[in-house]
Amino acid sequence: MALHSVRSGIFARGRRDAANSSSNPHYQKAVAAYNAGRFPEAAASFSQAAHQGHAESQYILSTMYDAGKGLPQDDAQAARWEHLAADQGHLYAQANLSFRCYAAGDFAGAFEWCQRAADGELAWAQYNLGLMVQKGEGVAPSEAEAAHWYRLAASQGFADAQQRLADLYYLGLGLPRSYTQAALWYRRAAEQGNARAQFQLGHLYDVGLGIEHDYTQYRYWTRKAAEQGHEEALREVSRRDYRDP
Amino acid sequence: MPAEIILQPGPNAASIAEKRDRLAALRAALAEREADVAQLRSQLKAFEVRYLQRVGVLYAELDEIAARITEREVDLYHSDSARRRAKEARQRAQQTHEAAFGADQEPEEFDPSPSLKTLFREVAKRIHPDFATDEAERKHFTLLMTRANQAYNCGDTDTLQRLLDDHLEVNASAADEGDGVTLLRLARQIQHAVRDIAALDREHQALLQSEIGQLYTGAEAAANEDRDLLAELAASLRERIADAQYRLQFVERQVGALGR
Repeated sequence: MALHSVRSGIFARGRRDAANSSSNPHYQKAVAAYNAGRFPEAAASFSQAAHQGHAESQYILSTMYDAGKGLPQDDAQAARWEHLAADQGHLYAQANLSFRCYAAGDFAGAFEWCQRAADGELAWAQYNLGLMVQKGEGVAPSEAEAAHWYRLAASQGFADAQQRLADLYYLGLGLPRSYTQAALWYRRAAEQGNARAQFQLGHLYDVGLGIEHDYTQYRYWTRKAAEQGHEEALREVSRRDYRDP
Repeated sequence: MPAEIILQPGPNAASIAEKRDRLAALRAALAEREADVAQLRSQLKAFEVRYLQRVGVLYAELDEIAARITEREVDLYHSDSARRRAKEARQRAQQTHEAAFGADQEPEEFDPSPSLKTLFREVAKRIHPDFATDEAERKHFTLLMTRANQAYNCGDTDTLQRLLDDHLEVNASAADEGDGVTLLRLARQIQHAVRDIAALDREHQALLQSEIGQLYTGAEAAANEDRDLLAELAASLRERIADAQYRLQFVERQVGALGR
């Protein structure tokens, strides 16, 4: 009997995965209609698949209710389908639900759902979990834990998380201070167009911290940040142009 | 003048005949239900084996890789969340492994308690098919005996006790076979048959509504559309395994780069 209870988990998983396979006929019809721009028809088909427990359809249906696309805008319905999809482990639904909780001031709920999405390797959620842990929203604040979540998202190439991780290395918060690591992560974020990372990388080149001093690189990255309207970079560039045109 | 003894049908004869017919019909239905449930049970069992061989092992493989990824991440991050994730992932991998490969374990040795043995003997000596008085009863006793054997093999005292109680109740006053007693006896037998049919119906429902039952129903529905549900599940799992393997290699490269 004990063996059977162990097994029912593996059966439930198969049933859930089978129910959520992309071969669901309503789902296929809905996707075709959606891609052809026939949104009311798509919404009707997604709704049928959603009622059968198809998680992806539940998630898309919730976004259509949110945007009022193909059916009248309805927050309650959007939340309902989002929750059902999230319960089934749909990562984007979990992330959206976390955001919905956060917007409503429910930090504990936001944290819990964000953690589930983060455990499912969703970079956006790992980054946001890092932000919540750092600020202490829905959980005790911890810079070390924030670093852990930032790094998970950063390793997946999430630029904002790379910049945050670099900040923690730069300031030595939650991690032993390392200008080399800071420069490494700032560079990855800077190459993806993150303005603060570009400014910081320029600054590290300027003072030669964690990286060999390089005036050309300093000017290049500071200007890149300024082009994006980064305030300190703008001040720096105008000061430099005055001093060193 | 020879006295002619005419056996007048008693006032209860019609009622008894009617009850006998009803009991016979109920017992036929009961036997059919019993066969249906037994068939469903063995179909589910066979499906379970197929599912575990084709899909379950892949879940085990996927969870094993996922556990290794989180364990390497502990080497990388030294954080409480990382350790918690690694512990949970390892537990999950173990559970999945047991679920997928548990069938290979030797079944536990069957060692019935003395009280179970006594109870079984008490039941068997009353319902053994060899002691039946007619063909209908022999059939019914065979059915009861099968059930008693099953109950004995899984140490199900409740079912054995119920079989015994039923028999004792039906034959409580069998010594004096008056019409009244016959009627009472038939009424009890009918009552037992109705109860057992209802129980079998409930079991049938429960089997179909269990996780494996619903999966089986889904696979049958897919087969009607010329689809192989287990093959589809296996294919999507292989993709997820390949994905996880890539992530594991990525983490291992990171660990290697840090020289830990």
